[in-house]
Amino acid sequence: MTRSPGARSAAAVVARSVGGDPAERRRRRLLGASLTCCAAFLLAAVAVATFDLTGPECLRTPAGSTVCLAGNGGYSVSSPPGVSEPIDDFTFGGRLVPDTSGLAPYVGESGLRPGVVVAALLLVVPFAVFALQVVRLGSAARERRLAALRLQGATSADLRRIAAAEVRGTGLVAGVAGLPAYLGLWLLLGVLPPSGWRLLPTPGLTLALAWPVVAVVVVAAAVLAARRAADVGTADALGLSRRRARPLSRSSATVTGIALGVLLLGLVLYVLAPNGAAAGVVVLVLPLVFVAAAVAAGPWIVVAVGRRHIRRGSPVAVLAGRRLVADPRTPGRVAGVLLAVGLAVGFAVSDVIGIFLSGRTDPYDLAFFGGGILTALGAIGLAAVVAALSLVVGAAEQVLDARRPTAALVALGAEPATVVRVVRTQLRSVSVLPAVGGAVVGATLLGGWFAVAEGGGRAWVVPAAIGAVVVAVLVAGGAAALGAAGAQRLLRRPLAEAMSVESLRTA
Amino acid sequence: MTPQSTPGDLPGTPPADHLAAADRVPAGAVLEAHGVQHAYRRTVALRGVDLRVEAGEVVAVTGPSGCGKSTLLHAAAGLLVPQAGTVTLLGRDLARLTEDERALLRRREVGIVLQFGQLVPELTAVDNVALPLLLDGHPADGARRLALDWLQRCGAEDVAATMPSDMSGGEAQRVAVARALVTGPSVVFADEPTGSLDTLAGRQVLGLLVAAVRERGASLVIVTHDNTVAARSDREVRLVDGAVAAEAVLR
Amino acid sequence: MSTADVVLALLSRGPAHGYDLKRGHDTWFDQGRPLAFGQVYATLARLERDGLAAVAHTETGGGPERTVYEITPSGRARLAAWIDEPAEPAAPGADELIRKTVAALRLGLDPAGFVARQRAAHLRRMRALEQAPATDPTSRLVVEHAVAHLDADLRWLEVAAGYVAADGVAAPVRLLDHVAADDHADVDADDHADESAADHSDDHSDDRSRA
Repeated sequence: MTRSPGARSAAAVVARSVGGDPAERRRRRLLGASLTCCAAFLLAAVAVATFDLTGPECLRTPAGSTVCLAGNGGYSVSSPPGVSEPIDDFTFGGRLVPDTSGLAPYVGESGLRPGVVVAALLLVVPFAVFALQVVRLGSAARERRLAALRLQGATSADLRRIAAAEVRGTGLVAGVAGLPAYLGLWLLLGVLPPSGWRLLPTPGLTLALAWPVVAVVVVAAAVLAARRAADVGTADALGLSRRRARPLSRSSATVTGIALGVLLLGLVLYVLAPNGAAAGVVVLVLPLVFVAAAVAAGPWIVVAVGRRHIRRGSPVAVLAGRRLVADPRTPGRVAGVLLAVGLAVGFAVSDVIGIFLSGRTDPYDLAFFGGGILTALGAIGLAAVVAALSLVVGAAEQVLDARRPTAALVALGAEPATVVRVVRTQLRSVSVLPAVGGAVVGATLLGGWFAVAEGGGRAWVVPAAIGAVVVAVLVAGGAAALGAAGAQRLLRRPLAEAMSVESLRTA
Repeated sequence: MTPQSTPGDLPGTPPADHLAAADRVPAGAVLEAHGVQHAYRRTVALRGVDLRVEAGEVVAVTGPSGCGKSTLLHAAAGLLVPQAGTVTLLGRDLARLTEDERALLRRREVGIVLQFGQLVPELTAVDNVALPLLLDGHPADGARRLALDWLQRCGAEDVAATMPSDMSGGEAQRVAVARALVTGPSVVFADEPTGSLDTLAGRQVLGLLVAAVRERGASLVIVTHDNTVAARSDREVRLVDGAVAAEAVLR
Repeated sequence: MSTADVVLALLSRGPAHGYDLKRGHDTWFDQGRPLAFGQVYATLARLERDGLAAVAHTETGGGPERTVYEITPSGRARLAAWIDEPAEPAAPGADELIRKTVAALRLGLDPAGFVARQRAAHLRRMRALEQAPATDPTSRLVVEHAVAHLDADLRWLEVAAGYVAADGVAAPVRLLDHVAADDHADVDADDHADESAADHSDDHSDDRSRA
């Protein structure tokens, strides 16, 4: 350790002294909450992934007997008192229901479980984006603070250390709180739902083992994000009075390129060998890669949308466009999540049409697919709500930051409605547009595949596929528009404050 | 020595639309404030202030910090509606206008220059200057051309394509002056326009503003605590503790 | 000796006769009082007597005879020494402005009105100076100096107005401290209070009885 004790204690002092600031306290609460959710969903992924390690694979007959596979290929049957039924190969062929201890089939069956693990991991993403947003929150005040420290001789390493110290405690508390939060989640999703619909298994030993690991991962991620936030070169003397534009850098282009490249590679692999062992892995990893790619590409999408607005030329569009281009990262990440949400909606809607097309009417099948789609929609909804909240937090920050220019804009004669329209355009561009885009792509891809694979030349296949696209667009776009409207409602007060003449007196 | 000292109220003040005509003859008051009172949560800013500004007149509002001069300017420009008293700007009773109507009046007839931080940070200088015209629905090309013209007149053509964050304080204020004048306002309100500049840059910006306003025959109300700025005016109104303490005709 | 120094400075540009020197002076200080002919020749005579300037030659053009003077080496030395030496900061209390203000405050003769009138007068003068066309760079500098002085006076008047408004204890004395911060710097604040407490209370009651 080459760190001087002086710098460390200075970091601790700064971190402690800013803790009293109400804005800072709010920031910490939000950060703690989002990191706790991250930890809880990580633990959920662990719990689901390790579930099958605790016992043998069992199936249950409609009459109630349990058939468990043994390691040597044979099986054992245990029937409840008064039930006696023959178990034969035919029964194995189609009549058996997996014994999942009340879990939903896609959690209980080992072959489907990895998909649920991936879903749990995907749900970490919106919370992580939210946490990242919160780490960057209060940027103006924090930049001024860091700049003041810089002027007093703090090196950039000191600044990173201070930024890390500011989140370390919060991260640790959140990581530890992950287990209680998971238990709450388990009560909600693993105890309360009726048997056969439960999503989370009974907590086991592996959870206790995973707990400290997840806590450390959460702390490390938070510290890393905070250090990066302190490290983007914002903490120079300029930070005292002026904010620097943060255009997209070459490194973020590289990251986006790599993510897209991996995504493309996965797709090619899957298309070339749709049934191989590799394809199974690819299918599971692909959604994760896709979300990573979407979040990485989000800022570039935002820049493209912003440029388009600027070209449109109307003052509202130009202002909204310039604001998007000036700081595309924060809204970009949200746009990426919403793109993934839109895609998922597209898939889900096409899936419904696909089931319809395949003509399956078996109640077990319907329960299986219906339950799965409902669960997926719930998860999608959760992701969308968290993304909308990130949007609110980020936009509120921008409004607060631009208080004085906003008030000056009103002073020079912009109607308040115009300023509101600028913010609305911004919010919609990063929510409705990506969500609709994702929905179109998702519904077209999967719906098209269903139309080809399951349609069998029936005349109404194509209209059904088109219908899937329309429904997906309506659902995703409507939800995103609703989210944007909600975000705008939450922004009404800070915006009104920014437009008031008293904002002219602020620095 | 008040120029065109017309006694009493001016029912004949032409409506603002007529004042916008290019070659208008300076006549009558552009601004009349009577008994303006305003208090913030804890402090009383104005305790019954009268202010009258004639067409073509340059008036300095001075006084120590916290005397209410900025509040008076905000009330005069329709940025806030005072709790008591009337403000008639360009023949219109501001209290009777809606917020949007006041915004429209400011956009078309009024220029505003603040101490700093008034430019839209995401727009280049030329777009900042063109903004009031664009907001008013003027075609973009013409608005940009006029904006560039005004940047030239204000000696800021070098920063036309520059973002506000990359400008010096003096350059930003020149751009702000160009933006205040681009619509051809009848009256310009300036709140410490040189407050954030050094002596020389401040003097240049001020000279520019006063010269441009005088050339147009427009009126200028300038809030300042800088005596050299006040000395450019035709009349000084001195506020102390929210009330007019003294008035001096300087020309 | 300041006129002599300026004349020496003008002479250092090259030999010149009295009229050239007067014109040079008036160009340099075009907002100030013009130099009188009599003063030019008296000054030149003094400079010649002290060996700082000497007669170069006598011109006899169409008009009357004119004596052309030039600067001597000791004149150049003297000029260099003059420039080297910083100017003495103005002594406090010698200004009519200060005398009037202190009198108005001490006697309670409408001090607020006095300050307001004085402020207007200063601003008017400043305005006139600001509007004077700049003929050449240094003449603008002379104006700037006058403006800066007027500004300093105005700021001081604002302090005075503050004392009028606050009706502060021993206001006039502290006001003078403000003017002559340097001169009073050696007097410790505590001493000051102790020594003159009695005087001040007297002054104060005096002011009140008059007000």
